[in-house]
Amino acid sequence: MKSVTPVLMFLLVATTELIAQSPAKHTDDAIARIEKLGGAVRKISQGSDALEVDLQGSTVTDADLKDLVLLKNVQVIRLKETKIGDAGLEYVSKIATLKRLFLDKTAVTDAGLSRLGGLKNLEFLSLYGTAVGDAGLEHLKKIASLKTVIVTESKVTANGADAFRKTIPKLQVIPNLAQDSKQAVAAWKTAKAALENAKAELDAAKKEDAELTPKIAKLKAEAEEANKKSAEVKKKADDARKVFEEANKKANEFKKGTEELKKQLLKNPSDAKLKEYFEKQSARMETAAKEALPLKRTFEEAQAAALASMAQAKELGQMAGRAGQAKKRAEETQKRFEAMRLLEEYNRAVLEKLEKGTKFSGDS
Amino acid sequence: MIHPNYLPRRDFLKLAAVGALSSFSIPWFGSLAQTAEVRRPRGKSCILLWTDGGLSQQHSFDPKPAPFGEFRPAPTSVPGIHIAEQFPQIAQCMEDIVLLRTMNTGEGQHYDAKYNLHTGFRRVIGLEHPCIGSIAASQLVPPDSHMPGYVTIDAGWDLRLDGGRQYRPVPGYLGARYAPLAVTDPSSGVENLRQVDESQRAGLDLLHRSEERFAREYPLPQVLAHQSATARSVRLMQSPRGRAFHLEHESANTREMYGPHRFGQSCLLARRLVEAGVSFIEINHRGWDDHGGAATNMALRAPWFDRGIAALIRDLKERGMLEDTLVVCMGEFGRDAGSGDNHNSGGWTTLWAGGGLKTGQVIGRTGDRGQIVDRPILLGDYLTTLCMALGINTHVEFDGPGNRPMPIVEPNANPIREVLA
Repeated sequence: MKSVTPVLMFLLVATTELIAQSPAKHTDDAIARIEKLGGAVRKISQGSDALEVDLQGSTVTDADLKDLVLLKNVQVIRLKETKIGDAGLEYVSKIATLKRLFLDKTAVTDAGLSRLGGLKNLEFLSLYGTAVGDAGLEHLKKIASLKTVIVTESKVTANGADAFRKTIPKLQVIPNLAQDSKQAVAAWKTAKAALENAKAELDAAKKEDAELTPKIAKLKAEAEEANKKSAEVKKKADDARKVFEEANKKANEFKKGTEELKKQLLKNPSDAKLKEYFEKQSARMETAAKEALPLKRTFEEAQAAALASMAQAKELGQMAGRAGQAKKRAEETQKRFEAMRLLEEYNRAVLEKLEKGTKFSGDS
Repeated sequence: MIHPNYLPRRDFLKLAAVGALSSFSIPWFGSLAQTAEVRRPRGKSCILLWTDGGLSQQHSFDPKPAPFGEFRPAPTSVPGIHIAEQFPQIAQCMEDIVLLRTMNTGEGQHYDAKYNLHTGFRRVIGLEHPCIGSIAASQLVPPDSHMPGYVTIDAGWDLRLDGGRQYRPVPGYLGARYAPLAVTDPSSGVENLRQVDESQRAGLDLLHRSEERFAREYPLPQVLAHQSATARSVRLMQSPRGRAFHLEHESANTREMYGPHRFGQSCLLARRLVEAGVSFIEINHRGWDDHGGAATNMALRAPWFDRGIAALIRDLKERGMLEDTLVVCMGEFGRDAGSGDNHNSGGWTTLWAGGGLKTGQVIGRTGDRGQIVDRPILLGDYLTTLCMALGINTHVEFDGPGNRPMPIVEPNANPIREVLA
């Protein structure tokens, strides 16, 4: 390896140097030269032959861009933070397939943009941080395919951007002060509503706190009393249930005996003794059923009373619980209210800043 | 000899092709590989805003009307989409946002859920899967980049500091080269990261030479990884792009837009890092495990959270960077219906913005009690969609331990094609 590597390295360096000196003739040369400048050529996505030329932050100069035409189907060119100026745009204008062009913080001017008029597929153009002004946008009006143009931190005025926006259907010119203001108003309204809702919740919680907190002891005692009472009533109902069930059990036993006798009687209809016994048993059955009936009613009434009493106890218990929590809830609601006040203040500040005409974003 | 285990297969082939792995080299093959190959597709950058402990979807992006929810739904800039009224600035960015409301990830324990959502896989014995940030760094960053591919920013914590064990993002079998560079305080950037002067340069040269000699004699993966990590740090110190780590270069106006909270300032730092070429930035804000009810804590977080996220989306948009930058906001799961007292891994929301996605829409629907009504999004679906959105080829396989081929994502996943442009 030791002996081969230097030779190989020399060959590589020599080849690259040679490529750099003469104008590129083939795709491969063009790619090699772009990479030498600190850039890259990439596929835009898997399974597509569309290319992106990324020279962002590289040492590329206007003249270097003449190699671009050697690459097929270039759809994205990134020239952000390079020395590219109007002369370079002449070469860019030859790339008819171009869809997205990044000229952020380059030296392009209004005059240079006149060269882009022929790019019939251009959808996205970033002029962020350039010296381009309203006059430059005039040249872009012919490009009907444009969907997004970034003019943040450029010399473009709000009026200029508005006028330009109207010339191409569906065109977004960013920033959009009118839309920003509209959204800032909407945001502030929402924040204001949130504050008002928080205020209403705070008032309700405070009111409850004032009402319930002093009564905690009383409410607790009441709840305990109701609990005790409900336990008593429930015990009564349970007792009534036992009495009724006992009677019911007796009635059922008589019923079962009677039915057994009836079966036997059907087998031996002439047995007089059996018949007499059956009738006696039937009478007993009816008496037992009659006796059980009012007991059932008593039990049901006691049961209803117990349920009502338990419900009342539960309600009083909840009330006491609520009273116990009222102070904490008021405190929590207070915190939420303070938070919403901050939110409303900030949203109002955004709006005021926009209305004063100073943009809230971007470098000053 | 470098053991190939620690390199993605393709990189291994490439290295083999240029002769780095073999003493037999074919001279023309290397130069061919260098000129004829169009590099892999350009990926997008990703800013992951991690709300550690579990963000309550009902107190934020999937509110329910009373009596089911505690926060009121409010209209957004997209007709028909409502989010909680506590987030008015985010609401006005809705045309650049997609809400995935039916995350169905089936893991309610903090640490395991963090692991799953970061790697796309369940935890297994004897093997640590690489996290998404490291995967993105390995697949998207040009090998000669001056910037680290993956940076984590600690945005601190407010209110509480529970939420289970911290997940530490690891590159796993991708190798230490793709470990994140950690920023522990967004306002001070990376400690010691200042331009190199002449006296330091001699020292660095010496370090470089001795490291190189050591690596030549002991070319173990660990040694090479360490060498590449120092090389990266030194390159970063020497590069003007190191400035990206320092917020003081940003105007007062912009810093104010993001808000004074550490979360907002972390968002601003993330934007600077994307501008400088970092592929994946993960901002971790801790303590969202709102046991005892989420309402008060969510209200307290709302002002800085709303401001930070909205500022980030707007700023990226105004700089023409939003289409190439995907912003994802999520925790390891959501919280249960009503008060948000407990964990909920079925029917929770993640917020995605920009990234060239089809935004201004909601995917999936949950009922009044938070139950999934339509389009459950499984763990593999989520991570495959994320990879596809970033332009990562999901069919790539890594060499895992023991030459075991490891897929990037679960092969049978059902990506959310509705959001991919």
